[in-house]
Amino acid sequence: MALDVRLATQTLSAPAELERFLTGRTGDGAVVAFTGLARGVGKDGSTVESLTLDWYPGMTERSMVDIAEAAGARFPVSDLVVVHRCGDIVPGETIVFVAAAALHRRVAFEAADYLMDRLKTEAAFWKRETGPAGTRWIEPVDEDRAALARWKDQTP
Amino acid sequence: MTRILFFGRVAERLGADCRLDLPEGGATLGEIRHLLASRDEVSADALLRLDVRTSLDQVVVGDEVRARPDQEIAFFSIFSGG
Repeated sequence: MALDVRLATQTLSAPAELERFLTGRTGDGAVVAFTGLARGVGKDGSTVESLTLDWYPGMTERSMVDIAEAAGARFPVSDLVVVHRCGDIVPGETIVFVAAAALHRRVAFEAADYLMDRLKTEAAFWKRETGPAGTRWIEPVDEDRAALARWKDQTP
Repeated sequence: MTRILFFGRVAERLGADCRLDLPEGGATLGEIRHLLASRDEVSADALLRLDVRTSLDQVVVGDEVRARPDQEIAFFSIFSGG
């Protein structure tokens, strides 16, 4: 199994990542890909002009690798890719791209779902939104923690 | 001088980093936290919070862990996730 985990300081192209992940893949029956986009509207309906993801060089990459390794150990996937943006991001841009390849679709769906639930709560980023009213920090909400908790009481 | 890194809400208040003269034998991260907090009110308010975590050589650890002057020390607010 190959894990491809990267932090992107510049634009992240989901189509290019997917194309690369699919190329030459002859042994798998399923690839599930997820693309997370920066929204122009906050959770409370306010306008978001930009999103900033601060990171700790080294620790942030390690946190992403840890999550990908856990997904690889938990699900019988062939390969995983995780690419995450950092720095300043504007609405419509891709923040995160994950894809999982497996023999069958169920495993690929679950691995991608698991990757995203953990990245959303545990990846070492500090996120803030900037809008007309100023800047505010964004932290995991109960909905994110509940999504993560789904995996705690399940065996692979 | 040991460089101490800050991230998240802590960096917003105190900047990206600062320098601290640590004793040769090092100090616990809790002692370092209080040394930094004693500098001024802004530092105290930024650092003396239960949700401000610390790491040593990029591994999240508790305040009881001892750091040497040549190690990488950071204080930060909880991760937002991606």
